[in-house]
Amino acid sequence: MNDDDRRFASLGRALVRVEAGLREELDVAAMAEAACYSLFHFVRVFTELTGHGPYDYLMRRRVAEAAKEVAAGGRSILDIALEYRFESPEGFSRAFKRCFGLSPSEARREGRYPEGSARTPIDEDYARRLRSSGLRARAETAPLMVITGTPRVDGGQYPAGSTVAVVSIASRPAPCEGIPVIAGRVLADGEAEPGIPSVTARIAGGSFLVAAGAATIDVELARDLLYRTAFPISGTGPRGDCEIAILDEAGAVVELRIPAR
Amino acid sequence: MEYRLERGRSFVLVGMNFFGNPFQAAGAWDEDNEIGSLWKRLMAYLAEFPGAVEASPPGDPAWFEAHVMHPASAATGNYEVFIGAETRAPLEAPPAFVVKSLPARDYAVVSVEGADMAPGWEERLAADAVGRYGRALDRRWGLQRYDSRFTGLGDPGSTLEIWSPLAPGTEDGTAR
Repeated sequence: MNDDDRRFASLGRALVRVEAGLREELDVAAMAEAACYSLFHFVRVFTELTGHGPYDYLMRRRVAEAAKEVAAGGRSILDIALEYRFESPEGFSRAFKRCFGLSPSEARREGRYPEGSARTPIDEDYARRLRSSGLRARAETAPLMVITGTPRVDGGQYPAGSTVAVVSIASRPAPCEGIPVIAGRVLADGEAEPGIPSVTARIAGGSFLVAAGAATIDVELARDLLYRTAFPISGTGPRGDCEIAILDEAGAVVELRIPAR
Repeated sequence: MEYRLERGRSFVLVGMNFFGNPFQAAGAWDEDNEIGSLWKRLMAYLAEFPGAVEASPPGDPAWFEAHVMHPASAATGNYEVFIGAETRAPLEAPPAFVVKSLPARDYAVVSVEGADMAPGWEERLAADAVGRYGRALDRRWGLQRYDSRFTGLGDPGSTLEIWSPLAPGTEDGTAR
């Protein structure tokens, strides 16, 4: 076992300890102990390999599990909060709102919460995949992007020559005006839009969160990184409901960009 | 790597600090983490106000990076990173600076060179020190000492020192 294997194994032990301790007294010192690391070193390794600080991860996992029970109804919100080691309903409500942008009471009334931003469990394999993929999230600002192309066939390959794909992940149109699911290319500044049968989408300028690696990316892993780690940690959320996939010559995704608030 | 024991060493350092998870920002967004940012903030201040702190020893001043646990650290993992130097008159430091006092301890000191500055080296060297001196570490803080021998993390020929405080020992040298 080399140093890297030992690091992942240590992380894995800490992650197992978290899942076992969601309803128990558990602190970062105990997580570090499970990893057999000093607290200083543990914080560094955990953050580097998961993208989350250890305390942030623990709290988000607790809220994510508690949210399922809140939305399901039945038990009182206070009981759920106490079970997941929140000291008061206020503290639970603050944490819940921070994770999901709505209160536990609202989630209870509506019977649902934004599951897509809930932190699902990270395990050693996930951390290894994230590391080996080279995927990193970053924030950036970009101007209006006008994309022309053809509607993409669901489940099919992107049309040859496409350099970018806009994928609508819901029915709400903003900020992608026009046809929401297309693959094509970005129009140069001042370039006229081609006529029918091409279609055009406009992605409003502003902030974006971007996931990219050294080469082709695992889109599902990139989505997980952006929606369940990067957006929650940044304190922002998606702006509208579309994703922009940057493609290489073979049509494989090399970058995923999501408009941010 | 060279080892030595520094007995009964106390520190009064003048510098700047950060409290939190210094790697959180780097994990998702920036190439630099909060420790790098703290070094830059300190050096930028000193560049703008040369002589604001007369670091000791004169000629080849040493800067210490301290990682210090606070009462909240066990619960949250947040801790203090302090970077500073010994000076002749610490209380005359400018208001932008803070004074860090570390009580007298025996320190296991290890010089680390070049490629030995790999991730996890603190842990390995700390374990070496425990084996060598037969005493547990006082995990509440740790120091890294930088002087002109340090030219960059992992640079060939670059050197820094790790100062690991040892828990008080018994007469026969074992930990208590």
